[in-house]
Amino acid sequence: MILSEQELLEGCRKGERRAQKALYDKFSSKMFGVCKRYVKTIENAEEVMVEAFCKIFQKIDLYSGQGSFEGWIRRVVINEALMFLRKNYRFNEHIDITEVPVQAVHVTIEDELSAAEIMLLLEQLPTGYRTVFNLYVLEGFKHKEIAELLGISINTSKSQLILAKKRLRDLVEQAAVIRTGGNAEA
Amino acid sequence: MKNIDEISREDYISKLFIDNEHKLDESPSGDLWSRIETKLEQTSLSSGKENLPRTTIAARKGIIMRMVPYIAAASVLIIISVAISLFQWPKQNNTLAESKEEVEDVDLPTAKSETIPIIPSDKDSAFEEEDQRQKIKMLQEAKKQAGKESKNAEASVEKYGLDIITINEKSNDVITMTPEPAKDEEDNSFISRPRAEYNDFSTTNGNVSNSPQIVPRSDYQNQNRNYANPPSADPAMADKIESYIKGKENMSTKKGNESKTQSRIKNKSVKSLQSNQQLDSHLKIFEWLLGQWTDEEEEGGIAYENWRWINANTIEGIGTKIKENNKIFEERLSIYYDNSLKQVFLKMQIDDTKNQVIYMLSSFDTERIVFEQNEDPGIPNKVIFQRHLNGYSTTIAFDQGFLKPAQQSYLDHRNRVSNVKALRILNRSEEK
Repeated sequence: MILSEQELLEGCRKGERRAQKALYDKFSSKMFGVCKRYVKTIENAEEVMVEAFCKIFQKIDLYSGQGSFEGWIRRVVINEALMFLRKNYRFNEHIDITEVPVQAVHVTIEDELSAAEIMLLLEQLPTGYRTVFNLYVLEGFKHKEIAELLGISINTSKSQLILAKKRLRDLVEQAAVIRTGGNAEA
Repeated sequence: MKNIDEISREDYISKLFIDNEHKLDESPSGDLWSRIETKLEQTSLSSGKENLPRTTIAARKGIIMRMVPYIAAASVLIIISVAISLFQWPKQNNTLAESKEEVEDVDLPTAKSETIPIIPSDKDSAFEEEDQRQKIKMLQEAKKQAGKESKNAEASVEKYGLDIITINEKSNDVITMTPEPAKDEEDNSFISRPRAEYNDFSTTNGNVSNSPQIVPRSDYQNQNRNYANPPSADPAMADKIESYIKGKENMSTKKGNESKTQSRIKNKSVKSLQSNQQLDSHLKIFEWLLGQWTDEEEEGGIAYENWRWINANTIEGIGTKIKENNKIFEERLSIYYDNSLKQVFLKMQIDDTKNQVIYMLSSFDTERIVFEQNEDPGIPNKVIFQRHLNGYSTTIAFDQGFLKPAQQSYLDHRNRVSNVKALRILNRSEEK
C-alpha cells in the first residue's frame, strides 16, 4: 500500500517506524545523489545520509507544511553535508582571485554527461570550488546566502564559482578531445 | 530584466550539470536504513535518560518552592538585626567620644609634660611635623644623589633613548615629569612595557611610584607574552613595509586596475595627509583603509565604517549602524604605531564594558592583515582585515574558546556572529 505524502508526514510525526521507512524509500535515492555531489567518497555520503535522515525524523515537526516537503528534506541534507565538510575543511582559508581570464569555450561533444562523468568532473574540483558550484548552480542559492552558509565573503564565493567553472570547462574540453579523437575545436 | 545571478547560471557548463544532475540519483546500500534505525533507537534511549535529570530538577525546584517562606523570614530577620546594629553604632561612638572628653579633662593639668599626646589634633600635628621632616630629608638626599648620578643617567638616556625625568626644585611637594620625545634609534636588546602601564604614575611623599621600567627582552618574553615574531618588532620591518608599499605602488601603476572610485577616495585621503603630515611608514599598509565603507544589504540596518587619520601614528575607524534613521550602534577602532614599543597595535571594544582590547600586528600580506593577542584567554585572540574586490571584511576570531554572551550580543551588530567569530563585510562607498 502506497502512502500519500500527507500520510507519511502524519506517521513520521507520530514516530511510526513504517512511515519513516516509507519516507526513506521515497527520497533516499535522490538525497544520496545530493550527498555524493558534496562529499567525495560513498562512505562519507552514507554517513551524511544517516545523520540527515535522523535529523529529518527528529525535527519533522519543524516542517510547517508550507512549501515543498522534498525541498525541506533536501535543505536538511545539504546542511548536514555542509556540516560534515566544515569539520574537515576550512572554507575561508584561501586567496581571493581578483583577475580570472575568461575565454570563449566551444565544446563540440553532445550535451550529455553520464553519472560517472559528472562524479569524475566534480571529484577533480577542490572542496571549496565544488561546494560553491553545487550551491550556486545546482541548488540555486545566491552568493550572499552561500557566503553566510560557508562563512566566506561574497566575493570569495563569486571568485570560487568562476574558478570552478573554468576548471570544469577545461576538463570538459579535454574530455571532448579524447572523445572525438583530437578533432574537437579547442 | 534578468538578474546577473540568473544569467551566470545559463552558461554551457551550468546547463550541462543542471540537465544531467538527476543521473546521480542512486539507491544507497541496503544496510543504510538499518544504520538509521539503530541511530534513531539510540537517540530515543538517550533522550529517555535525559528525562531523569529533568525530574530531579523539578523535584529540587519543588523543595526550593516549599522553602521560600522560611528563607524569606530568615532574610527579614537578618536585615532587621543588621539595621539594629547599624542604628546602635553611632550611639556607641558618641559614648566613646564622651569618655574621651572626660579623660582629656583629667589630663589637662599635666599637658606640659613630655608624655605622648593623646589629643587627636596634637597627635596629627606631631605626625605632620614628622612627615615634613622626612620629606625635607628625602628631598635633600634625592638632590645629592641626583648630583652624583646625573652623569650616569645622561649616559643611560643617550644609550637607551629613555624619557628624562626632571625634578622641579621650586616646589616642595610636586614632582613634575617631563618626557622628552623618544629617539628614533633604539638598542634592540631592550623593549619597554606597553604604554598602558605608564598611565598612572603617582607621586607619594616625593617618591615616584610605579615608574616606567625598562626590561631586557629576555625578561620581557618571560612575562607570558609570546607573540610569534611580530613583524613590527623587527627593526628591519620598516624597510620591509616600505619596500612592500613601493612594490605595490609600482604594480598598481602598471596594472591600472584600481577602480576610479577607489583611486579618487584614496587620493583624497593621501592629499589630506600630505597637506599636514606623513603617515608613519609602519602604518602605510593600512592606507587603503582610509575612507568610507558601507554595507547597504545588511538586514538589521545599514552599516558604515569611516576610517580617517588622527596623526602620523594613528588612524581611527568609526563604525556605525543606522536603522530607520536612528543610530543603533557605534564603535571606535584605532590602529596606531607605538614608537616606544616599535609595534603596531589595534585597539577596539569587544563588549559593552567600554574596556578597550589591544591587539598587536602579527602578520600581513597582500590579502590580509592579522592582529593577535594572547594575554587574556577570555577574549577573541585574533582580528583579521581581509581585502576583497571592492571591499574588505573584518573577522574577530576566537580560536581557543567561545564568545561569551556579552561579547556575542555586542558583536551581533556586525554582519554575522557565531559562537566563535564575528564577521563584517563592507564595500567601498561611492563618492557623492
